[in-house]
Amino acid sequence: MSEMNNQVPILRIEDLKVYFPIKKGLMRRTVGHVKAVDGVDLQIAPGETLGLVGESGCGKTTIGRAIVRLNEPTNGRIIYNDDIDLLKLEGEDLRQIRKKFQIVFQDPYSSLNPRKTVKRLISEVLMVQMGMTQNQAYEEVKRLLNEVGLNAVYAERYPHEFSGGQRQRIAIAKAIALQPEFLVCDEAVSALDVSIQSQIINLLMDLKEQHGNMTYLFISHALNVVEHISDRVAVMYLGKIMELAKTEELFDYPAHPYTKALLSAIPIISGMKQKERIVLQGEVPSAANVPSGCRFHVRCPYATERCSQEEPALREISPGHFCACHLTE
Amino acid sequence: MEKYLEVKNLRTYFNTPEGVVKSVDGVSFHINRGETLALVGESGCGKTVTSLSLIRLLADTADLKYDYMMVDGQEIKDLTKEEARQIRGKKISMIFQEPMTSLNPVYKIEKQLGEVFKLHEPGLTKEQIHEKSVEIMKKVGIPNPDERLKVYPHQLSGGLRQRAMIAISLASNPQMVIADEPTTALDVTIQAQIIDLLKQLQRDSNMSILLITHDFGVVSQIASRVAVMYAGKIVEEGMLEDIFRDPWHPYTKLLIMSIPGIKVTRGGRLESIKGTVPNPLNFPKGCRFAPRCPWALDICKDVAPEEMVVGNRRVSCHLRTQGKAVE
Repeated sequence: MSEMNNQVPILRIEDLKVYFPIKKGLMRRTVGHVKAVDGVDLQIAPGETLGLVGESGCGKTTIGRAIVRLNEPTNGRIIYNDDIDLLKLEGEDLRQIRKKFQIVFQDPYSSLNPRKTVKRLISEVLMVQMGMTQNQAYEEVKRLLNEVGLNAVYAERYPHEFSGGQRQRIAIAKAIALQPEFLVCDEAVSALDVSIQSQIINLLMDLKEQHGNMTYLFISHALNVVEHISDRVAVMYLGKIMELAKTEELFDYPAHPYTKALLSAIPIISGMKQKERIVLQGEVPSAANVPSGCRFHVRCPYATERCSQEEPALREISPGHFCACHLTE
Repeated sequence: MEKYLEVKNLRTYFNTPEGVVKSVDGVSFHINRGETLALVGESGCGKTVTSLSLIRLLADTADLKYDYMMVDGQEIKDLTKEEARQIRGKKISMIFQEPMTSLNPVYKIEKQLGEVFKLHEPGLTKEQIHEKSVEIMKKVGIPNPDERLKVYPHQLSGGLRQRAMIAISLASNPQMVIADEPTTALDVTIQAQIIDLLKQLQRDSNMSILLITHDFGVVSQIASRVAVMYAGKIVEEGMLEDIFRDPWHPYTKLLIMSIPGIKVTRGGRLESIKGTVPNPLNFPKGCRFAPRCPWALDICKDVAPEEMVVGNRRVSCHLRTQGKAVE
């Protein structure tokens, strides 16, 4: 990718496939697979924010979880710093590398242990991973809470005592406690009210600046948020990347019909120009039964005969702009 | 334009062991025939309780009062349970937020839809009900309505479920619907389909819509007028374009500025509102937004602002009343 020519990508994802078996009957025989991620190649440069967008069930979350090893891919490699394949790591090596890769989930209420105070939640991580003593860890917790904009006295409280926005700050404090190089934000602001959402977006952008070179994979279905925060954006559909480009390029000159439809579905606030409006018919097909050829062709208003037979490859159509569509050839 | 619904000084309080929660505290508004009014605000501002109050879908602990209420040309003196039943369905129907939880999971769509016809048009035969059901399913754009009537809600996708929900709420042929976050749980492409459907249904039958949402994007697609709610009160109301172009209330302004992609450029710093929504058990005595307002004057902390009406706009803010601009 052009702007990364002289840089080793922090992550290089190659032909990543994550299939979940469908089991049926008394013997729990595998009768098929849900192809959540079906052959994804992606490079992420150090310090960049890569937005990953798509509708529910397109596999965006599964990619994020595969990077932090929360699910086991069926196939593929995830190469860290051109050197280590994250998917091959085990035991102590995996534990060491996990410090560098952290994740912030959508719903901080279900991802923070309700029976632990904030102090315990975060200090445990520090003691186990960084080898701190309890007192050191407690001091560090106070510092972290300040860093994410919370008062240090909150350390004694339990997750349920906080509002949604505050809880998400705690989840972020926990994620950055180990000074990770890479942060997966999986719908990290989606459950929040707009005024709170903007606080968290600002916080994430500030943290990136303060921590020098943190890299974000920002997974979201909220296109306006992704446009705001990302350097580059990848659009996923049914387990594949359909288009990938710099944010301005993608939002101003989308090439793939799916991206165009997705962008035209964003409600435009008055005073802004409405883009060509494409309302897609029908819904996303099941990932257990992916259409032949281009997987988007059943909903594509421009589909031709060829689209139903031959699957288009993700090709570079202009420098740094990749698109998987026969029509852009 | 003729008013279809008007309510003045609506107050809905809940008695709880901790005290009285003033969810809706003196709300007035009207909706014209064929018009869409959006009631916008963040979680807990009272927008949903406002809409539920109009059809009295409230728990018994709710204490509902108002100075004046009119629906379809008739004044409603006392919104008793029986009177609310007369309004619900025919006059005002409801599209709920989450069709997965608001449809009954153990009955097929046909049964849930048929119930509405049975209630509102007694005397229909089974066949007539089936015909009408198919017809309304077609109207809301559900493909293969015959088959889709025979399934349970969980067998439908999110978009189709929402369409089925809309079909049920339209089965009683209402003159107004309340749509409470009708697209929030849906993907953007499906969201666009549902908004288009609502607009088309409105055109066809001159229906009024009260849209309850926190999403300014959806508002801009369908509403003609906007009322912004904060802490149980409407703080500002006006035509959609005016509100977006020149919000008068500081809360509206900050809310619009905090959404990426409207006024803030890519990667720029978003506006955010410091602090959190006040506790409804204990609202500030002056302007309820004053503790979070960066422009608050001394008077704001002590005296609740009077509503100021200018043409078809209204706002409750001391700054505006004193002619001070919010920059």
